[in-house]
Amino acid sequence: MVPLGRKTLFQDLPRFLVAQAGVAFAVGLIAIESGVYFGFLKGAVLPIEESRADLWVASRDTQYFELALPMRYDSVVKAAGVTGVERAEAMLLETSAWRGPGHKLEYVRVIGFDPNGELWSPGPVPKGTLAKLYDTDTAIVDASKLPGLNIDGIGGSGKIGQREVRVVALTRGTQPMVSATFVYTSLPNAAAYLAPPPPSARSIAVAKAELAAMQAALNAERAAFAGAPDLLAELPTPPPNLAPVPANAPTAAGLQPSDGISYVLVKAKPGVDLESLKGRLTTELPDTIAYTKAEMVERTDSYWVKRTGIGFVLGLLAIVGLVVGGTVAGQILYTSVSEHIKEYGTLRAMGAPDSLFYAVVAEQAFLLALLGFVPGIVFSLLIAQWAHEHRDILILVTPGSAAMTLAIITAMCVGAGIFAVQRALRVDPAIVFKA
Amino acid sequence: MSRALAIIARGVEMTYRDGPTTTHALRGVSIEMNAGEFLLLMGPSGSGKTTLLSILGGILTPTSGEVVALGTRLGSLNPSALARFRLANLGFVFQGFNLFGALTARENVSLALALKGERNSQVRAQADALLGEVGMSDKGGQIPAQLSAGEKQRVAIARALACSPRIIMADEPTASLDSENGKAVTDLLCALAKSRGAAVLTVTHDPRIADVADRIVYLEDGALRDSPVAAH
Repeated sequence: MVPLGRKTLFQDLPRFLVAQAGVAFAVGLIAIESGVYFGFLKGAVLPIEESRADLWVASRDTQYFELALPMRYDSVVKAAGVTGVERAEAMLLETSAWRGPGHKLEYVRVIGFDPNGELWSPGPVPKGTLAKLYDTDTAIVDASKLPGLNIDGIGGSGKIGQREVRVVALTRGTQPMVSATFVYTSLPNAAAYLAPPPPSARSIAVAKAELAAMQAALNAERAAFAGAPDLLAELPTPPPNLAPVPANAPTAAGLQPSDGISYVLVKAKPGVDLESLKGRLTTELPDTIAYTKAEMVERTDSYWVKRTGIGFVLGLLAIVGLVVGGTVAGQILYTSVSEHIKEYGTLRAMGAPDSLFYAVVAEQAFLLALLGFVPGIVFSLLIAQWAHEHRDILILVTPGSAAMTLAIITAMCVGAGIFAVQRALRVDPAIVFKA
Repeated sequence: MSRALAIIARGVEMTYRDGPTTTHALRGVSIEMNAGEFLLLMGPSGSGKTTLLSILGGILTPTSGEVVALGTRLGSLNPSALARFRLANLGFVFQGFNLFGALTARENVSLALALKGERNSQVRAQADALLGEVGMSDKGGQIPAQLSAGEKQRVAIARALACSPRIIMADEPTASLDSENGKAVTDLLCALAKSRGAAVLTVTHDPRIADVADRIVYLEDGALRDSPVAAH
C-alpha cells in the first residue's frame, strides 16, 4: 500500500520535528508525573515490601504503615507460639522529634526492630553496619535526610526524647518522599527514645506537697472520728508516700512485656495456609488484625491515595499530563488533516472508502506516538536519574510504566486521530474543483 | 450508428441558500452524453459548469432532477455506494492537478490502483505502464514539486485512467498550462480516452481545445443556452 499517511506526515520535516517535540513533551509530562506518583507510592510501601514477613499483625485500629496503635510487647511471644508460625519479630514505630545541632528540630519516625532479626531491615546500608545498632543510643538514617537532621554523616548526633542519639550508619533510597524522617534503631533504643520524660524536680516537689496536705487532712479527719469505729471504717485511708523516681527510666536495656510495640511480623512455616494462620493469630491476640504483605501494601496505598491530598494532587498531575498530551497530539493531527484537506477531498472524490481515511490518520497517530515516545521517555529517564542522584526523589520510570506511557500516548494519538479524521470525512468533495 | 448513453441528466436544478439569499446555480438542465464521446462544456465564469460537472460525477446531489450514469440512477445510491460507483467508473482530472504532494508520481498513480483493489505486486508495474502512456516514464520517482505544470497534469491523467474509468470528468484541465502544454495535454487526454472507449466531459474556458471535441454545449446562468451545437 502507498504510504500516504507516513509520507504526508514527514513531508514538512521542520514542522514534523516541532510536532514531535510537542508529543515528546507530552510523553515526558506523563512519564514524569506518573513516575512521581508511583515513586511516591512505592516509597510509602517500601518498608513493607522489603520485609520478609508473611503476615503483619497490628492493632485493630491501624490505618496504614505509619499509623498503628500500640500493642503489648509480649504479643510477640504469644504469636511465636501459634501453630504454623515459624518466627515472630517485633517492630516499634512512633513519631518523635529530633533536635539536631543548632537546636534544629525535625519530625522523625522512630522505627525499632531487631537488627539480628530475619524478617525486617531498613534496606541497603552502604555506609556502616546494622550491628552498630546494638550499641546504646545509636541510629541509622537515610543519607538523603542528613541535611534535614542538620548533620554531616556518620558520627553526627542529635537528641530524641531524653537521649543523645548518634548516627552509626546510612541507608540509601529507603526514605519515603513525604514521610517524616525515618530513624532506624534497635527495639530497646527505640523504647528509650520514645519514653516520656521523667518528672522535673519542681513537679515532684509540688506533688509531694499536695500529697502531704491530703494525708494531713485525712489523718485529722480520722483523728476526729477516733471514738466511732463504725464511721472510721468508712473514711478513706491516706495514700502512701511517692516511690523514688529512677534517674533514667526506662533504660535501653530491654523491653518489658507490657511495653508497647506497633507490629508483630510473622513468618509462616512452609506450606501453612496464610488465611487460616491469620485467624489463629487474631484469636490468640485479641484486638489485632493480621494482614498479608499485599494487604498491608494495599492498605497503605489506599490511605495515601484516598485519604490524603497528596495522592489526589499527584494523581491529578498525572491526569493533567494525559490531558495536555492528548491535546497536543490532537492539535497536531487535526492541523495535519486541515492542511491537507484538499488531498483528502480528492480521495473522497475518487471514491476512497472511509476505512482509508482512518487507516491514513491511524498510521500518522502511531508514528507520532512512537517517534515522540522515544525522546520523551529518554528525557524522563534522565530527569528521574538526576532526581534520584541529587535530590533522592524516586521518580519511578520502569519498563512497565514506560509501556503504559506508550500505550496511553498511542491511545491518545489514535483518539485524537479519530477526532481529526472526522474533519476529513466531512470534507465536501466539491472543494477539489476549486483551483 | 447510435451509441450507448454514458450519462443522462433530466431537469437538474441546483439551488444554494445563504441566509435570505437564494442562488440558482442550475435551472432544469437536461443533457445526454454518449459512451466514448468527448464533450466540451463551455460557458462564462459562474455559469454553473463546475456544479453541473460535480452533479454528473456523483459528487454533488442536485436539489431536484435525475442523473443516470452508465445505467445507474445516482440519486438512488447512498454515500458509500456512490463512492464505490465513482471509484469503479469515473476518473477525475482537476484544474489544480490535486496530486498528493508527499507522494512521487508513481505513488500518486499507485494510490488509485490500490484503491481499485489491485494487488500490491502488480501496482508498481501498472503505475509505470500508465506513466509511460502519458510520457512520464522517467519521472516516476519525482514528487509533484519537482515537476512542471504540464508534467503534473500528465501524472493526473495517468491517475485518472488508473481505474479504467468509463467516464472521465475534467475540470479546466488546461487552465494552469501554457497553450503548448494545454494543447498537448488535451490531445493526450482525448487520445487515451478514445483508445479506451471512455467518455470525456471537459469543462473549459479554453476555445483552443474546441477542435478535439465531438460536441460542445454552452451553459449560461445555470441553463443550457440552446441545443447542443455540433463542433464538426
